[in-house]
Amino acid sequence: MNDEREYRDHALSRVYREGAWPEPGRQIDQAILTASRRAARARHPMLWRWAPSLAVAATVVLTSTLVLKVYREQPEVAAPVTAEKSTAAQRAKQPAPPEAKPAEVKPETPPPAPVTTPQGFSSNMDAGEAERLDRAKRDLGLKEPPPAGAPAQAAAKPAPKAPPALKKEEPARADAPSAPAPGAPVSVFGAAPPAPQAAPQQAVRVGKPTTPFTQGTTAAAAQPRPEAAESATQFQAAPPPPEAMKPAPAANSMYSRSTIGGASLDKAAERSPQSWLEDIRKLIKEGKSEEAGAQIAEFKKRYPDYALPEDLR
Amino acid sequence: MGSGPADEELMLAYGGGDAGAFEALYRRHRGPLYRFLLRQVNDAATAEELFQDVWMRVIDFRERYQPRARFTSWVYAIAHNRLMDHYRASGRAKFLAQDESEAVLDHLPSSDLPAEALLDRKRTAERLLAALARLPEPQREAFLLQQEGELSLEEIGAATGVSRETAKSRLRYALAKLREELSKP
Repeated sequence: MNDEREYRDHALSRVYREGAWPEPGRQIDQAILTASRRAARARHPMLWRWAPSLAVAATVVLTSTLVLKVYREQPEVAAPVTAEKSTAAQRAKQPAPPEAKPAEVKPETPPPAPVTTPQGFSSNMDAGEAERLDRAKRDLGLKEPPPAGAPAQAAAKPAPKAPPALKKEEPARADAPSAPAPGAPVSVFGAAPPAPQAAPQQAVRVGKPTTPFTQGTTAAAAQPRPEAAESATQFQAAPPPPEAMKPAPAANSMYSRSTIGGASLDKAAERSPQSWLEDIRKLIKEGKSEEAGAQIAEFKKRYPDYALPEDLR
Repeated sequence: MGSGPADEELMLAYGGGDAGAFEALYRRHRGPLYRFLLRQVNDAATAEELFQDVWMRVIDFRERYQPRARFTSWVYAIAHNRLMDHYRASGRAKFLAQDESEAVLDHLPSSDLPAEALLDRKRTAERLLAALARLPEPQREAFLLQQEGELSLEEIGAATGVSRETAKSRLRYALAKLREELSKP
């Protein structure tokens, strides 16, 4: 239209635009934009009306799911804990190490019997039995018992609070044998070939608890201590330990009086021929000729080509 | 109005819940609309109040907006109505019947501005704004709608609720007086 061009004065427009160009303040901008956003959100009233309810429902579902999951998992965790508690009540009142989780300990729990040494039962055993137990322990690869003169020192030492028996393998300790006392029987199996497979594993597991238990029990002999005494009583009374704490059958038979005095032939057979023969000699010395004979027969059966020494023929 | 989506599309998008569309629209029109109001009332506080009111009405009408006309025409029509309310409230409503001397002005004066006016542009601009402030409200409004809102005669008429001819007449008067003011030594 011509009108439009006629009524549009470009020179005047240019002059007008060269004047000041005021603009609204930022606060006004913010107020307007905030109002516009709020209004835009209100565009979906249904969604916003139900949003709080949906949030609450989601929270409830999530929480109940978590609670159910925890309840389902709890019995699995609680059962070993209960077993552990009853075991702990029966055994020495030594607190379990915090890191010893029942589920983890169960398969690797060392047998309780091997953790003691004959010295701990000295009041109930004769010297021969004690020595035999020592030897059997060595046969299993356990470390040397503390020296005979050690009880006084052991008594002076504070007993460890956490029973290492529940701890996992600690090779450093297992590899640190204590020096034998001059009067103590020297192990004739020190240079013997390694025992069959099970023995080293047990040695590693049991190696650690050996020392504390030995100390505890020997200390109990010199100076009665409630913990150690109770511990010793536990082993003598031999109440059936719970599954989790039950010793391995082999180790159990090794330390059980009946098996040592009777036919622990299976175990003996697992030993090296030299150590077996040494055991037989001991039996003869102790006057247990029947037992010795049975073991010799078993030895011959096991090692038919082995030439028996002169004294055992 | 520059590149990007048309104002009408943005307004429809905002009506559909897109807050970003409104922001784009606002950035595009905030300055001109504010100046339109400020030049009319000559008071920043009042202008900001009116400005905010206009945009709030835009927001309120977001879902009912129909692009029958340009968004600019629509928003300046809102601004005009808000101005009328303001004038009425402040006792300045008499101007509504004041601009009927337009018929006297049959011809537009020459659009040529004096050379001196073009040399000192800043001072000339100040003189123009001063002359604008002295114009009757309808003529000033018509001029501002053309300059700030870039409305056509038709749109000026629609925004101010008058016929195209009336809008043309007001604009003619405004231009003549402004040129006259600037032509003075």
